Amino acid sequence: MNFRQRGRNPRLNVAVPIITKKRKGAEAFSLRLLLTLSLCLFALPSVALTGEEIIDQVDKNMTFGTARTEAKMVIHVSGQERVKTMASYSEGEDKSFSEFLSPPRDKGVKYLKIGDNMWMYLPSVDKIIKIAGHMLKQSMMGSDFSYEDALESNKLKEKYAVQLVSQETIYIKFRRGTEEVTKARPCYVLDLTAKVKDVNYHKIRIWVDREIFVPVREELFALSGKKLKVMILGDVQKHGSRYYPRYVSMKNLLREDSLTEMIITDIKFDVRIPKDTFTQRNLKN
Amino acid sequence: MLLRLAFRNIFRHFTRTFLTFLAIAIGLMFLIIIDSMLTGIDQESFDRIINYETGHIKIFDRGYREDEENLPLDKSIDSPGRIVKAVGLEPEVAGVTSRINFRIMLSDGIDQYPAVGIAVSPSDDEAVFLLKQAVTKGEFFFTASEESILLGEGLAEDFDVDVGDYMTILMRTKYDTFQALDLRVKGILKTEDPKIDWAAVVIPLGLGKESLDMGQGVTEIDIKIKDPARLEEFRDMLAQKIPALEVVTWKELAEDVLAIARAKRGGTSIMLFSIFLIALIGISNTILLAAFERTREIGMMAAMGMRRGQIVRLFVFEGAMIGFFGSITGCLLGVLLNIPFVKYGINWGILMRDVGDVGYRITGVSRGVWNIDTFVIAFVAGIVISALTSIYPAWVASRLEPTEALRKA
Amino acid sequence: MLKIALRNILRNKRRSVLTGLSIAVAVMIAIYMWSLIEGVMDNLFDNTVRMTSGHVRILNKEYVKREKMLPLEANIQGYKAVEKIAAANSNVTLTAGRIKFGVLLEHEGSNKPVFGIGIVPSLENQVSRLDQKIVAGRLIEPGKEEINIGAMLANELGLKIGDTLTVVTQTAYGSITAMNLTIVGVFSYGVISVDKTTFFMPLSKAQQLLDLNNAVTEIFVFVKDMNKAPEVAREIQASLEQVYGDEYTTKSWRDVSFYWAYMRLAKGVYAVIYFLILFLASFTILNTMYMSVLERVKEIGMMKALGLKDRQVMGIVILEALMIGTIASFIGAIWGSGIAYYLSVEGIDLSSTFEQMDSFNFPLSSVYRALFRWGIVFFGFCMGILFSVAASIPPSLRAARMEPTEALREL
Repeated sequence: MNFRQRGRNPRLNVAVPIITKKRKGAEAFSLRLLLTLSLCLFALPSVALTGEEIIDQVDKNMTFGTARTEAKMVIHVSGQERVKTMASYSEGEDKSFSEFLSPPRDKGVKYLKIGDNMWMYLPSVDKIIKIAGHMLKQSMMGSDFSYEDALESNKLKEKYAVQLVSQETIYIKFRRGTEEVTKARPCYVLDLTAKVKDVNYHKIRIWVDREIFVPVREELFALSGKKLKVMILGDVQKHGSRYYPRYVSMKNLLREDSLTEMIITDIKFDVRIPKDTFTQRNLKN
Repeated sequence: MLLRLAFRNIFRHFTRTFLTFLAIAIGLMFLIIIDSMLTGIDQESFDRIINYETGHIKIFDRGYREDEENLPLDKSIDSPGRIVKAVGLEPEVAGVTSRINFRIMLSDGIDQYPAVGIAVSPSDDEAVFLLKQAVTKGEFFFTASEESILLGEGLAEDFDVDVGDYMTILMRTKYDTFQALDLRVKGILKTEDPKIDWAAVVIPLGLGKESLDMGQGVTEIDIKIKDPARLEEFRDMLAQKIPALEVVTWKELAEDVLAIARAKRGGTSIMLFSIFLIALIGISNTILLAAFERTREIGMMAAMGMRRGQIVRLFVFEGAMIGFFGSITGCLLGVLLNIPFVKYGINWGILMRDVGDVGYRITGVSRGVWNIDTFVIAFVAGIVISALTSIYPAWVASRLEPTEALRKA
Repeated sequence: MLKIALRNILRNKRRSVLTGLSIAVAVMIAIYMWSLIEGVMDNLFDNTVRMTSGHVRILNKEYVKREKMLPLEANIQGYKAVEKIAAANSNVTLTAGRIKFGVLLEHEGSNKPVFGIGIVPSLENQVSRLDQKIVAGRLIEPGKEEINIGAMLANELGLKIGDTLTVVTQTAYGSITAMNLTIVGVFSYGVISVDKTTFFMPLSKAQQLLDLNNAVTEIFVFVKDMNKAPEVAREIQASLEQVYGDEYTTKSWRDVSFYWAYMRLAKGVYAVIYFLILFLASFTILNTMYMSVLERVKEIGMMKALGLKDRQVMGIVILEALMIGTIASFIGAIWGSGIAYYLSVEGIDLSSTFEQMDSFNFPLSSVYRALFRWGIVFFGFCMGILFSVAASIPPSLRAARMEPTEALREL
């Protein structure tokens, strides 16, 4: 094994010479030390990652060129459950086009997002509505996600300072199909603190799976430090070299029993997206 | 000569004079009192707005008013200290303070309820507003940064919270970042102003500035002036001094309430008109009766060679004189009776005792007002009516032949 | 004695007319003032009951808490069954499920908040009387995508009959929803807060729009005797509790606390002012009476000289007052009822003042109308007579006490 090659961290280069300078009489000891150290060094490359680097790794998983998704949204409100299904195309972070397929009353409702703008099409009246101003702060289709949440850019690094806080193993509860799954995952805990003022959440705490670099839990905080929302991501599946969660839930902590789950039933990356998908004209088709 | 004669006549028929005088005095007194009561009721709703919401004059950032419904925090006055200080030095200013108004969601963990947040200065707010006095339970703030809130009575009832309980308020900072605070309810407000009692959450200004990320900024500067009558002039003067900001009077801010008052005045003016009418009839009839009674006297005067114009003038003098004394007395009685009305008010709430538990409690104390206009109108009207109604009987009587007049009655 | 009194009255017509005039005017004012006060209060009350409270209202308990926000999610599921339970009460004459919801109507770039009300059109003649308030077009028909819109709202938005209005709002579950509705009629209640901010649509379509299948947000209940409404409300609540536990609650019109309290207050204030007016009127009568006795000192002296006893003199004076009072009160009653009737038909139009109020949310008609009632006229009439007689007592005492010689000497 080649330490030097793997360890990009300068600290590694310093550590090795120290070991070679050990006295011969202490060989057995030093051998054991070497063994322990080398074990540590196996782990070290990841431990030594900075917060920023972890986020970079996450981004590799979570961002993509294009994708086609089919998903199911389950909204729990005061004991009731409402299920909506949708299909969407996305291109990068800036463009997406979604269409609701069920229930019947929502069938044909379409959303188009281009950059910071969002439009909605209501088939019952054949009208396009631009979602702006106060509407942005409202819940999207009655879920715990607001339109704002949907628009919020994933490029967190630009707006937030990332800091690796600790590592811990947490339990994640999610749904896979119909079964409930609880999994223990070793995670990095990252604190993202806003560098600029115009962000919705001043602080975000993210738990990133240490092995596959997928975020599994996010907590969103107010400026005062009060926790407002909790997001859980689970049911991670491998798509080529990419790990991607198929389950996302969002819970608003200031509201009693409200929870929204988003379950991806089918996702394909790097698909060819029909021309003119991301146009207002397409909303009316 | 005529004047002296008139004077003598007045005193000769003392009872008659006294009755006429009484009619005028009592009529005017009622007119004044009822006007004071009715105007007082209107004034009550204005006072409420001035005392709890607007002050006399507000200063906003330019552009704030266009977006007022949303209570925008980004259209703020960023360094209010200098302006507050300068305004405070104006001789006409009675008090000045600054506030931040913002939108919030009030939450007890189960329900969320939209409300209006007001950040007030614990030390200066009472120079302009009466919030401090409206704390019926618990206390007002001591320091600018203490983590507590005052809740309107209606909201407290809806959320079933009391002094000492905690509430969560969710809001957006100036930069739209989510902000949530768990605050202890320090006091309950009862103002009779539904906008406060049912929708307002008050926090200390320091806490507001910090948690809303306003720096030193506020959304408004509120001013109370010494002479409310000089409202518009003072506004214009201020507006000239600080052209960068917008200076607005409470009248411009409370237009809907003023409109309601105008509508109510429709009913009020019918009442006042009725009072006036009945007072007019009372006065004029008494004078007419008194004058007709003197037909014989008039005949005598005519027989003694007094010309018709002189007789009429004599009667008008008499009428005006009684009118003058009656009006003065009426106004004085009005003043006397109005003093307790203005000072202690009328507690209409007593009328509501039997209503029992009606969620919305109106204590309904309204105070009388000093309406100088009414006094002047009542005074002048008293004299003019008595003088004018004296003309007719004198004219009729003096037309008679002296002999005929003497024979009559 | 009667003859003497009558002769006295007729002999000095001018005096009688002047005395009578005071009485008549007082009676007139008493009648039209009261009619007007009653009319305005009644209007406020009627509008409140018809538009916002019914006699009794059945609501979801959660709805009550946040009523101002019109929380659609706190509704009455399977409302027909709830209506049936309420209708089983023997005092109940009508139940009408409704949905009130908020809508932001887009208009020239700005959003105008208005209220939509889902109704069963055939029941409205007994609830809001919408059918009688249609000023153009016709009433909406059940199950059709039609609306009736307030005249002032239509005016403001530049809408006319036949136009299609797109209503965009949120469903009970927070989704954005919309419906195209055809304006088939324009209504005018003469109440700004209604005419400027309200539209009606068929209940079934409102349910569809708001995703409230089989549900309403409130049930208006009307009872035989509305003063019994609080009791009926309790009874209905008790029967509902047996089936639904504490899910629903009832409120009688008295519980629309703010208006009820306000009305009590306003009525109290007006009563006090009315009383003051009566007081001033009685003083005027008293004063005039006194004056007319004074004027007749000589006459009274003559009567006394002719041997009439004190009590007889007093009787004559009072009798005169009674006669003048009766005639004058009758005339005053005619004037007063004439004015009251005119005010009840024509009203005092204050719409120009009301028009400027955008956020004015008080269910008072912009035309003040009097309430014409014979009871009020009769009261005014009796009051006039009573006051005149009472007012004649002090001067009659004085007349009786006069010595004949003194009386003749005076003047």
